[in-house]
Parts: sequence; structure tokens; C-alpha cells
Amino acid sequence: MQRQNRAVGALDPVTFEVLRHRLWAINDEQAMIAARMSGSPIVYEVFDFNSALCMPSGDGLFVGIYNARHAAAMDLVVKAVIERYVDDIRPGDMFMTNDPWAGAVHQNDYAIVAPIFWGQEIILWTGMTMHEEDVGGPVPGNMTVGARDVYGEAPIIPPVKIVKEDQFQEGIEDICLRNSRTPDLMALNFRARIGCQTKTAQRVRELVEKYSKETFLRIQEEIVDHVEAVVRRRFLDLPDGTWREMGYIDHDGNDNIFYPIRLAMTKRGDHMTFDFTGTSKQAPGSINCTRVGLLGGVMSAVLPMICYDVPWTTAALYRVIDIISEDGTINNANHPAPCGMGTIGACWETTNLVTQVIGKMYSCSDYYKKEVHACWSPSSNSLVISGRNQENRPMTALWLGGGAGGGGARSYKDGIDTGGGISSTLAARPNVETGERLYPFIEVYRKQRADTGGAGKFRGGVGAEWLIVPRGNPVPITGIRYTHGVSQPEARGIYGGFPGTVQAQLILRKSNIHELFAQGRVPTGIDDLTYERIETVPAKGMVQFDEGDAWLFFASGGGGYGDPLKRDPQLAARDLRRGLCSFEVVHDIYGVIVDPQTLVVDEQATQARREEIRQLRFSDSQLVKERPAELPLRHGGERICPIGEHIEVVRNGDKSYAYCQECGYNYGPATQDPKLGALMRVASIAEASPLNRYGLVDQVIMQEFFCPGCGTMINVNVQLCDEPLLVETELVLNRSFKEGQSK
Amino acid sequence: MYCIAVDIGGTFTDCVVVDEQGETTTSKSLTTSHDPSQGVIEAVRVAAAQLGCSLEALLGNTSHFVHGCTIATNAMIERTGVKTGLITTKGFEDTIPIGRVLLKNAGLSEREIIHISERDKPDPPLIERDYIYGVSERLDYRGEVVVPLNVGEIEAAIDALVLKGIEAIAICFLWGFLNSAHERRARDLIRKRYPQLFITAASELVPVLGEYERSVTTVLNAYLGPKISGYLDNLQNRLAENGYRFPLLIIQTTGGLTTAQDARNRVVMTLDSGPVGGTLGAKFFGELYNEDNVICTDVGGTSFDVSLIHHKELQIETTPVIGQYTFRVPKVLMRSIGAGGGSVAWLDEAGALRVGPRSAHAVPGPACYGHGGDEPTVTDADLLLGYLNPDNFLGGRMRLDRKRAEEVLRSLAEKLRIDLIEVAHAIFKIQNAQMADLIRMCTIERGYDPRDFVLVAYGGAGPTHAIYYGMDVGVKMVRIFADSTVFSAYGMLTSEIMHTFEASSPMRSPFTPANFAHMNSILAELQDRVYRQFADEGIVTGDVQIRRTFAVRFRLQRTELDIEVPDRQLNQQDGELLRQLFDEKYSLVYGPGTGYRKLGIEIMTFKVDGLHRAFSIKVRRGSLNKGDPSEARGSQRAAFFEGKGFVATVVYDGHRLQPGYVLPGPCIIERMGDTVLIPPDFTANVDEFYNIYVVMNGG
Repeated sequence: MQRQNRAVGALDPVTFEVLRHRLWAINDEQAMIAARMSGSPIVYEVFDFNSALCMPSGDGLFVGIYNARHAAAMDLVVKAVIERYVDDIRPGDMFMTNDPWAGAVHQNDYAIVAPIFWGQEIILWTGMTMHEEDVGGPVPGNMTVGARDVYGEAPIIPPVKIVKEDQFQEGIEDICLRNSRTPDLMALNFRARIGCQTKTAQRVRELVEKYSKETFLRIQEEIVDHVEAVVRRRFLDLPDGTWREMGYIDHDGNDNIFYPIRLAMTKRGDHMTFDFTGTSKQAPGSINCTRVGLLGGVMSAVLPMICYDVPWTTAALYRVIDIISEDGTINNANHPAPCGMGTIGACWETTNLVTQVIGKMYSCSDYYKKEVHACWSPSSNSLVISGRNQENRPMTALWLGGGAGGGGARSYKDGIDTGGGISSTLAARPNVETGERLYPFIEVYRKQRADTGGAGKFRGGVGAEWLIVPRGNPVPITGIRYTHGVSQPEARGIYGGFPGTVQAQLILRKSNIHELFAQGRVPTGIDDLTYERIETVPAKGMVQFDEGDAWLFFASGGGGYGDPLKRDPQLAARDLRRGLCSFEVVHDIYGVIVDPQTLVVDEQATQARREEIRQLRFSDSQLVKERPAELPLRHGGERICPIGEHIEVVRNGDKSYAYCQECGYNYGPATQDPKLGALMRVASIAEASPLNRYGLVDQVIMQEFFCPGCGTMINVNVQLCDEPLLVETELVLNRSFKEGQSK
Repeated sequence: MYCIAVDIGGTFTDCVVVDEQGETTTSKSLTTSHDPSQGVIEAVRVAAAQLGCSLEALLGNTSHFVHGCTIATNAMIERTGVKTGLITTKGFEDTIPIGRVLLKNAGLSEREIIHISERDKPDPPLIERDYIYGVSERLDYRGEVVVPLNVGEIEAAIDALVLKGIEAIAICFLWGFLNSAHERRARDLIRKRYPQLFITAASELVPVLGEYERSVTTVLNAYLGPKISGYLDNLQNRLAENGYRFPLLIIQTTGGLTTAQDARNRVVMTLDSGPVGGTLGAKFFGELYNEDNVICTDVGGTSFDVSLIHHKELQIETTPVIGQYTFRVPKVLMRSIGAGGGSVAWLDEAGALRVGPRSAHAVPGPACYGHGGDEPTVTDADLLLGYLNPDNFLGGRMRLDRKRAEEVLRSLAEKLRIDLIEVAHAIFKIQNAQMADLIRMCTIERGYDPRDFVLVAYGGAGPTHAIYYGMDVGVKMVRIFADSTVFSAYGMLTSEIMHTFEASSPMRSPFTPANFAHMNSILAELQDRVYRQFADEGIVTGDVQIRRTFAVRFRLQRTELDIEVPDRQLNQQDGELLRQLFDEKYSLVYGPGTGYRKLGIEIMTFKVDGLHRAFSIKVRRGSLNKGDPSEARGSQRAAFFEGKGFVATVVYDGHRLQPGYVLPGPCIIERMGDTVLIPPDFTANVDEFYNIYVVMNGG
């Protein structure tokens, strides 16, 4: 479908382009104003907020480029308001909610939405969601360790009028402020939400005055049609098939139990289905998300990966994408499931899996391969801190410090080192000086942590490591941890790439940090300190620390792409120079031999070392399935598409097979997951990175899959010991698919 | 005596010479990137020839030579600075590589940011990791010593760096802006050991909170320092050899002038100093016209730059970005998009027409240049619409090939199933709309209403589009300058000498007696530095005007607003005044009732500007009389206007316009380097300074 084929009465291309640009700019302006006025570092540094414009029906027209998981669900807030208030929506009204069953991902996400009227008719909705540092409830920051249901978490405000016909409802605000540990912040943020939308309403009215109401409504429809057309076309250009991924959330806030999330993504023609059937039942702990988080989680990967060059119009995406998850599961939880950690829990893990399946699908296209990225750092490895600050004032804050994970590897280059997260691409980290001024800590060091990124032909970006010690704290500091990917590496690699590492937090009790300082020494790693004992902080937990204790963190890097033995040895040497890989990993995993003094690569020794690793792969593994005798050798034929870096699908007459691109080995019919024709070896997660020793090495394993012909690694899976084999790639070649045919 | 300004651009080096009567002589030479001073001298030589004298005679008779350039910017973009080391607090060697994570996106457009698979941190980086050395030392948030400086480690680090061949060294320690003792100690040690090194210490250059931006600024300065200071010395020498007897003056990021001698130590202050000239010129004329608020628009071949004058003041940003690195110097705020004469028109995947941001650049340029360009550009569209004269482009130096323009536009037209002129007009309109959107972002987003502004246009392609984008944003008047293509150089001559010093000293509860005493002492110290700098240049305190600014915010916020405070000792009673100044500013920017006074305010940074007007130029001024414009009238040609189709349109020779002329639209005014387009229902007026203005209200 092309624009010139649009219906009669369509807007001329110039008005279309002008108005589309204008509305996009208006939404971004709304976001920037709100961020400037906000007082929360999580808003103005980490950009955990978003802005959206919705159509009169509530469908999402534009989502800002900030935290995609909020605005992807803003249409749900508007629809909840429309459903609840029906005829009682008037000019000058604004509605507020933090209800996870009405458009908030968790209770911290207060959304305010506002209708814009023209006469008596609603012509647009605006919305602004921001994460609040504290919204009440038993645990600071609402990262509710210990909750068993939603009644054990922060209070829920269903959609209410916070502004009634231009009158700010102070009583409503009072309810929220009274419950919060950070009322001043909340008050400032309410003003930011309302102020920015007031400005947007002015802008929109000016636009309607100039272009007429009819044109303004029409453009909204056309924007949706336009984005839909682009996405459908993109889908048509990609091979059909089903790609699967699974992941776990470890620890539910009460017990360290693994909760699997399973995803099968099927792409057929110009349509895509994300099916999470088989995902774990909702948990008796705060890691769940509701359908809001499910949609937000899917969109957080779909928007940046599929809509990388078109406006973020969710209404269009819902026309071409179906999202299925059974009722009562951890990413589609029913009331009264607790969901205080839903954003960084089930919602974020949903994003991780969607990133993986889209990445795998793109890996099966020579044209779209450039858009691949493996899973990014799988969740935020930070803390809520609570207690009193150095001025002895009450303190509750999401401490953002050095926490930065790495980006997923791409098909043509490494992931971004300390690149942050995928769902919130603009998220920044505060300066050390900003944190030390606000909170009673010294950050002892902050560095890029070698070996945290998943190895691969292109490796995942590394995460950071940092160490904090209390200083000038009047009372012990309570730290609340809320992450996952602690027991298992959760940032999976793609087609032969290793996963990023586990994420750790360690408390070095009664360390010698102050003695070191007094001696004029600055430690830059755990080995530089002595301490009474190490406490490993669980993925979720509430822990106190005090003078003399040192809290060490490292964040997972991204997953890798392709076999690490195919990595350019010069890149491995560069990583050594930049402190992004250790000698150990360069030698053991990449098989690269480097002079420790000059860091120059020894090409010959490298070749020998790589051959040695290849031989080990053969001796250590067995075929997944018995090999049928009749598989033909590669002989001519037409390349249909790749499967990742090392396999290609070739059609010869009416038969298509998957062949090793390196040695021509036939893995079997193209529609069967090649790994079923591969060698498999069960490995310890500690083999992917020395840092994985902090995970549950005896419960979580890696399965490595190799080409039986040449030993090239084509897949790495991470799973529990007793998990059945994941069938992850099933191409469908039932039409005369020719890649990039519309290009 | 003459005043001379030279602005080095990507293709041309522009020169403007103004005599005591305000008569201007303009010239251009090709930019000589291997040694830019050569192009500077050449441009001045051409101007001298026009004045009928020798280069030496002109320079010998020049009292002020002002210079702006983008050499520092280009050196950063092309990574041609010197090998540089950084010495920082042990444990924080990765501050720049981590780049607060925002390094992957900073300064990029939204379109670039959402394309995540293409995002990355810059590679090669500003500084390689193995040129960054940490040394044991640590201060806390009050500037108190936690770990004393380890002198032995400094020596070891600097020896290792020198072995690696560095020519410049940056020093930046955590919290060093509150207590500079460690940085000073390190600097002195290094200076003693390796006197040939170019050294920049953060606490001297940029004593403000935020170690990432402070480190970047310090490294940038060291990295660019030897090259830029070498260039400035070279230019100063060449000018002196050819007869110029006074200090070379350099435009800084703030729009103020300083001596080359001062600039050589703070070269970050010269980044992008060329384009600032246009903003200064607009400010100058804004004052002559008594306009408070001006939108400055500069349209070149590849980009569209917008800056603002509000209440007669320049708008300054504090965290500009270069090559994705955020640094920390006050800089005239300028926003750019890829929208110029060379912007390429194309169809996206769904068949929608788009214009830019990619450009055909100067080479091959638009298809109609006939230099091998095969993509349709804005200039091609302008030509087909009859706005440009194919035989009189760049004063007749270039012929435009209409046929080529038709060919490249035809393929678009066929795909869109509209005719050639429709597609050309669509490109024209989309381009104008994008420009208008950028203007809105620079005004509305910052709380300014475009209806309170006059818009000025300059640069080669500005005058053709200005009335349209001006109309779109709803400004009250559009002004188009006479010497539009060298306007940035001209603007530099309107500047004054300016020295700025700032320091962070965060005050969470600012209004205690102790804090007022502290404020006064910080201000006194900054002011003293300003006066000393002027004294070095032989300018006495009495001739210096002082401006003092606080960066203030509500407690908890991150973004500060600047408020100007009176130039006197502050005391307890001033708390209310400061609060009130902040409230007023806050309402202005964010809207009435959006503040939350209960929170209280905090002061983050203190800044003192010292200003001294070293010289003033006169402006050529004619007398307004109701002359008959027909003497400037040339032939007619058909130009396309919406709703009217092709209309026979009068063409005027822009160089024969006299003050007082009234030129009803539609008409076209052809000048040396540009073409002014006046649509139907608008009227161009020539004012006493030979500039054109168009009243927009009711237009």
C-alpha cells in the first residue's frame, strides 16, 4: 500500500508531512518541559517518564522517545478514563491514575491525561507519565520486598479528576502527598505533568485554528495508516517463521524461585504474533506485571527495533501485531497480584525476550541483519536507598549511581559499552559529584567492568562496576534491591554469541576502606580490600549497611552475536587495551594469544589456540539427534536467507536445506531448527565469563551447539538443568519468498 | 582607521572592512584548510585591492582586526588535535568512556536517536583509555581531603604519558572545583618536569560541578590547545608582518571578544566562533531598530541555524555538545537541522515525500549546478518555481541548468503521480515547514511567543525562503540584510570584549548569613579575575561593565535558570529579591502557577561577565525618500505562487535599491549572492540602512 493509493479525500502530501512533523514536535516539547520542571533524578537523568498523544478514541498516536514502556501503555489510561467517565469528561478536565489495571505499569507511575476539546468535541488526548520516587506503602520506593499481594504494596488511585474544569483538585493531591515519603518531589512533578499538557493544549488549538478540525482529525488517521503501511511492508520483506526465546525472573521478593517467561513469535506475511503461552503463573511477589506491562514490555522492543525510522505510533502497531499471554501469568497478572517491581521485573523481561526474537528474525535476512541487536543488560542493578542524608533529613531515593549495563551485540559491531537499556534509550547516569552531594556515600570507583559483555564474533557491550561506602550517614542506610538476572545470565546472545554475565551486589562487611584512605590508597577492585565477610545480596532483598561496609555492584553487559572464535583478533587486543576483556577471556573464549607487554596479537599462536578449542568442541559434544543418512551435500542452488552468522538456507529444486556457511555441512531441512542437526555440549555458565561464578552454577547451565562439520558455534542457550531443549528457529518457506523484493 | 572582520567557513573565507564612515567593503577567498591564515590574508588582500591600496597599507591603517572561525570545531570533528593525556582521580579513569551513558546519544537528532542499531559512542574516542591515568587522591563533596595526593604516582603517570608521545595534558580530579590544591600541585609538578607540555587544569578552566562534562572540557582544551594556539600565533604574526599593529581579537563562544593571547589558553572558548557572528550582527541591528526580540536564521547550503535574541540579550547554553561529547562552557545557543539549499528530496518506504536532512553539499551540489549531482534538491525546486535566475546565480558566476533540475524532479513526480511543478512546490513547502518547526522549538519550547519577535534572515538561501517560514511561525516582521552572505563576518565587528569566569558552589539553603558572606566572596574573586584579565590587556576597571548571574533552581531540580543579580554586596535582605527574580523567570519559562515555592531554591553556579566596548562601527545610512524603484527594475519572469499558479513577477537589481523604496509583491530581488523572494500580498521596504523589511501582520 503506497501513499499515492490512499482513499479519496486524503490530505495532500505537504499538509500531511507538515502536520505530522508538527504533532511529533509538540509531543517532544511536552516531554522536555516536564523533564526540566521535574525534581526526580529518575525523570531528569534516567528519563523514566514519557509523553504521548492519543486519538479521540484513545488509540496511541505518538509516543515520545523516552521510556517506551510507559507511553506504549498511555492509550490504556485514556481508554480506562473514557470507560469510567463516559459523558463526564469536560473541557478543562485532567485525569490521574497509578492503577496497574488502568494503564500504569506499577504504582510509581503516576499518569495524568487530558482531553483537548474543540467546541464540545474531543479532538486529541495528551498524556504524561513519570516514575515517582516514593508513593507510599510498606517498603520505600515501592520495590516491595515481602509483599504477597497488591494490598501489601503502595496505595492505588484509580482514574480520578486531578483538574476539574480548570480547577486543580488540591484534596486529591493531598491524598497522594500524604502517603508518600517524598511529598515535595511529588508535588513538583504533579505541576510538571499538568504544566506541560497545558502548553500542549495551546499549541494544538493554534494548529486546529489554522488547519480546521476536519483536517486535524483526518491527519491522525492518515499518520496511523502511513506507519501501518511501512511496517507491513517491512514484514513482507522478511522471511516467515517462528522464533522462540525463554527467560527467567529469579526471586519473587520472598523466595529465590525461577519464573520462566516463554515467547514464540510468529511472522507470517505482513503480520506478527507474540505468544507468551506457557509463561509461569503469576507470582506471590511483586515481580508481576499486568497487561499494561505486557504491552509496554513488547512495545519497548518493537518500537526501537521495528519503528527505527518511523514515528512511534502504537495504534498502527496494534493493527499488525497480536500479543497473547494467558490470564493470570506473571506478565498478564490479575488483581490482586502484587506488581510493585513490575517495570523492572516481568515487563522488562518481556522486552528482553522480544528483543531476542526480533533479533533472531532479522538475523535471517541479509537486508535486515544490520538492525539486529542481542539482549541488552536485562534489568537495572541498582538500589532504593532509605534512611537519613548527611544533613540528617529523611531520604528515600532510587539511587542511580554508576549503574549502567551494556548494549546487545549487533551483526556488524559490538554492543555499546555501558550503553544503558533498550527501553529507555535516553537514560543517562548522574555524575558521581551529583550523587555524593545528595546522599551520604562516597563512590570509591566507577569503571567499565571487563568480561561482563557476552562474548561473540561481536561481543555485548560491557556493564559497569562500582563500589560505594557510607560516609556521614547519621543512621544506617537501608538498601532495597529489585533486579533479576542474578542467579543466571539473563542477557542472552544470538546465534552463537554468549550471554552477558549475571549481575552482582556484594557487601564487604567491616571492610578496611577507611584504613586504606588513611594510608593514602584508593582501591579499584574487590582484591584491593580486606573485610570481615562477604554477603551476597539476593536479587530482591532489603539490607542495611553502615560505616565501614562497602557495597560492590556490577551490571550485566549485553548478549553476544556469532561464534567468539570468529572475532577479529585485533578487536580482542583493543578490548584488552581498553580494559573491556581480561587476558583470561581473550585466551579461553576468543582463543586469541596476545603479548602481555605490548598487547600485540600473535597470529600463529592464535590460529593454533583456536584449533585447539575447536577440537575440544568435537570431543566434548554429541549430536542432538541421530543424523538421517540421505542429506545431500551443498551443490549449487539458490541462497534464500541466512540463519544468523554461520548458516544459510539454500534451495535446490523443491528442496531447501540449512547449510553451514563455513564448511557446507547440511544441518537438515530448512524448516527445522538447525540446532537439531548440531552437536551439543552442556557447559557451566562460568565458562562464559569468570564473573558468572556469582550465579547459581549448579542449577543453571549453558547448552552450546556446534557445527558437526567444522565446530563453529551456532547457538548458546541458558536454562535450568531440567528444562527441555528450546526449539528456537522454524522458518516457513511456503511461498516464493525472495528477500528484499520490495527494495 | 579601518575595522576588519574575517570569518572562515567551510568553502569561503569572508572578509568585511568597515571605514570610519561605515562604508563597507566585502571580499571572499577560498578557505585554505592546510593553513587557514593564508586564506585570511588573501581575503584581506582582495579587499585592499577593492579599496585601491596594498595589503600592508590596509592593515597598517586598521585599528581592530576581529576573527572567528570553526577551526577548533573541525579539528575536533576530524580528530586532528594533538596526542593528549588525562590525569584524574584513581578509580575514575572510565569517566569519559562511560560518558554518563548519554554519550551514545548526546547532540543527536531524534531521528538518529531512535535508530538504536546504529547508535554508538564515538570511535575513535576523544581520548583513548590508555592515555588516561588515575592517581591516588580524593576529596569529598565539601572539598575536604579524604585521600591526600600521591605525588609519586603523578610523576610515574606523566613519565609514562610522555613516553607515549603526548604533547598536551589535562588534569581533572573529583571535586577539584571546590578545592583546587591537588590539581595545582599536579600542574606545578608537571610543568617543572616537562615545561614543553600544554597543560590544562580543570579548576582553572571550568570550576563547575559535574566530573564528566568538566573532564571533557579539560581534555578538549588540551587536545585542541597546541594546534589552535599555534594557528592564532601564526595568524597574529602574519598580520603583524603585514603591518597590523594591535592585538588580534577573537570571537568566543559567548559572542564576546578576547585577545588571541587569552584565547590560546582557553581554546574551547573558540569552538564554533564563526556562526556566532551572525547572531551578534542581528543583535546589533536589533538595537538600531529598537527591537527587543529577534529570531536569527542562517540558511546555508547544508544547514539551517537558528539563534535568538530575547530582551536584547543573547541566549546562552551551558552544556553544548561537540561530536557527542557534552562540555561545559557558556555558548550562544544555536540549533541546527539539515535543511539548506542542498537538502535532498526523497520518498520514504511508504512513498511519502521527505526533504533532508541529507544534503548534496557544495560538491556535487544540486543537480542544476551541473557538477554531477543527480538527486533533486531544494535549489532545484526553487529554480523550477522561477525563484532563482539561471543566468544570474552568484552574480552570474554560475549558470543553473534547468533541464537537469527537471530531470531529477521528474522521477519524484512520476512516483507521486503529480506534475513537476506540484512536486517542486511540495519540496519548497516542506522545507519551509521544517524550518518553521525548528524556529518553534527554539521559541515556543523555551517559553517565547514567536509573535513577539522579528525574524532576520541571512546566508545564501535564507532570503528566498524567509517570508514563508516567517509567515508560518507568525512573526511580526521579517528583515533581510543587505550584505547577507558575509553577514556573520560583519556581525563580529559589532561585538565587545568580554571575559567570563564562573564557579560552582552549590548552596542548598542559600539564605544564611554565612552563605551571603560566601556569595560575596565568590563574586569578589570572580570579579577580580575579570578585572585582572582586562588589566593585562590594558583596560582599566572603570571602563569595564560587570554582569553577575546566578544559576538557580528549585531544590531537587536539575535544570537551573539564570537570574541576573545586582552589582553590589548582597545581604540578608536580598533573599526575598533573589526568590522573586527566580519566580518571575520560572513563570516566564514554564507558565504561571507552575512553581512550587514551598520547596525553596538552591544556587548552583555563580558567573561574572566583564564587558568593555573597544570600538564601534558606524553603519552606512542613507536618507529615506520616496524614490522611484523603477530604476532598479529589471525584466519580468514567471514565478509560481500557491493558489495563483505562475505569475509574471518583477525582478529588481538588489544593488540598486535605495532607502525608502517600496516594492510590492510579488517580486524578486536579485543580489550578488542571494535572491529575495517577496510573495503576493506582501511588500518589501528598503530602510535607511539599505536592509529590506516586510511587515507580516495581515500579510
